[in-house]
Amino acid sequence: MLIAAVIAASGTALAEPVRLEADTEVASAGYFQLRWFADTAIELQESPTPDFSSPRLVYSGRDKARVMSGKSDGEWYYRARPTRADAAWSNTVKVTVLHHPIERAFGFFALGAVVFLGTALVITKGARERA
Amino acid sequence: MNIVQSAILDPTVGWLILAAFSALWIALGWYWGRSAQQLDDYVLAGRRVGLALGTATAMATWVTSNTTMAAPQLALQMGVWGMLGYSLGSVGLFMFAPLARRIRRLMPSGYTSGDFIRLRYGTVAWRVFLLISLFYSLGWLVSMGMAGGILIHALTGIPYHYGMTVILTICVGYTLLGGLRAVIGTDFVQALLILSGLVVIAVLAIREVGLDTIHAAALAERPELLNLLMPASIMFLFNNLLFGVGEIFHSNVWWSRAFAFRAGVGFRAYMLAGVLWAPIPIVAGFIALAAPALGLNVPAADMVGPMIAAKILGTTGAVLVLIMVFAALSSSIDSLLAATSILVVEDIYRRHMRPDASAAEMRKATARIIVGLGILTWILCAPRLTTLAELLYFTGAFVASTIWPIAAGLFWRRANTAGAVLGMIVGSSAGLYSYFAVGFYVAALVGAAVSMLCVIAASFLRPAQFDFTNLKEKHPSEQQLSGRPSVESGVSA
Repeated sequence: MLIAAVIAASGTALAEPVRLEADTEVASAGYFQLRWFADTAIELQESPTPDFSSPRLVYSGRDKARVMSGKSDGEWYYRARPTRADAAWSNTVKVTVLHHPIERAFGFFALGAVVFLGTALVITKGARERA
Repeated sequence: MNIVQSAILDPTVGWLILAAFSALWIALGWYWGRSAQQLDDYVLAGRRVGLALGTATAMATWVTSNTTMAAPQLALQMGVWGMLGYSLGSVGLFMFAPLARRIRRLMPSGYTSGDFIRLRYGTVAWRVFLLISLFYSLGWLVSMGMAGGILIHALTGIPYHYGMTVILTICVGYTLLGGLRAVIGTDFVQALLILSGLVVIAVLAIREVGLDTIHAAALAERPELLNLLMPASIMFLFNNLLFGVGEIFHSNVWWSRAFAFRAGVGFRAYMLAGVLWAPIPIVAGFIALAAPALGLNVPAADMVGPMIAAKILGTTGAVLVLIMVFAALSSSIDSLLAATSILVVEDIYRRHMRPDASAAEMRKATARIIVGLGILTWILCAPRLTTLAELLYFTGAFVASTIWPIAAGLFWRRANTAGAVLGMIVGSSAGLYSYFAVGFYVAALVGAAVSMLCVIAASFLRPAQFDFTNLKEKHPSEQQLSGRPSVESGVSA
């Protein structure tokens, strides 16, 4: 009990780990937001594999969220922890980036062009006739 | 939860700037509004606004917090096409130019876009249109109230709710004092602040960071932002164009200006405003692409614009951005409050509840509605449910469905009521479905496309033969002066 009290008083290993969450599990436009709940500065790591064998430091600081964008297709894993040396890692969050098929994109583009040109035509033709 | 812990400005500085500019807008609002005694003076600035003020108010009103904050957000999310696509919002201004001229000619005594729909298509179409228009107006107001809170929080750390409350309170205050005359006058000053501020920030951003550095860092950290074949951003292009067209075509913000401009001014004012507005979102959006080069953490996408400006330019830049975006917010919130209150007073209060209301009673009702809108907006802003762009584009499904009923209604005799009603209802539904099924970046496009099909199909299957002279309706206040009854006609529902 004495040892536990000393550890608690020093505010180390018994401190609650950071909780990390993402605003989506599947990002179809390559962007998403990560949020974490911590009272101190944290470091945030990204990895293409769940074992974090080659992690990349994405952010270190006191903010509480980060927007990831411009990501290519793939699975991305994230974890965070306070910047103290002995701090525990948070839960791992996985986000899958899966962009829309390019054919769908061009289909919508073509549809938009038709609607725009049709609207422009009815206005210019109508304005000329009325003038 | 306050997600920014690294704000650049001291909260005291933030409060001082807000207080100074709030006092300025209130003073200008009182000064310009003191001669607005008659209803037409209060709600339509006496129908005598000239080209310079007309251009400035159209441009300033269209430079909203969304231009200065959602454009960078879209650049951060959608990349290069997000930035360029946002500037396609200027197409709405260009396309409205011939409509403004036609509206002024067909409805010299008109007050609202609702008047047009009622006279052109009848009561059912009019009520559907009012629902859409009021929903959009509220959505826009909420997006700007939120933007005010977000901006102030991003730059100063002042809690979101405080900043949002201040901005809404000040805009309600000076709009109440002076009506549309005050709105247009302050727009002119706000337009000058916005344009000069943006130019300074963009020039300094390129000098401080450098184009090569911006490009290299974006490619390394957020590569898809530079990919011109990123699917979502391609889908976004015409969606944003049609969203802008829908916003402008249907909203009483723009119709009230068409009625307020002197005869012959509307066409040129809208064309010029489009030319002046188009580069602004490109400049604002470009700034966001510098985030990787600066090593800046962006906690929420709609914060990126002010955070980048503050990072590059330091305290001076943060002050400049705060002033500029406060001006952009004010110029749009006041316009929305004024135009929405006219719509509610004319189309709901007078037409549905008090047909014999005098001009004085309507003026009093307008003031009460401005306050009521401010309170309702505050209530909806408080929970901060989503980001700016996603809220705004949610309304896109609805407003884009009004493009064809309005454009065809103004120029096609054969456009009929069934087509207009179906276009708005089915178009909105289809757009809403696609918002959730695909993404916010296709909702307006789908809404406009389905609406167009409905209007065209109905017009060819059962063509109407509308007489455009039926749109020349006298307002009851004019009838009282002339002693003649109004011309109330149009296609029945």
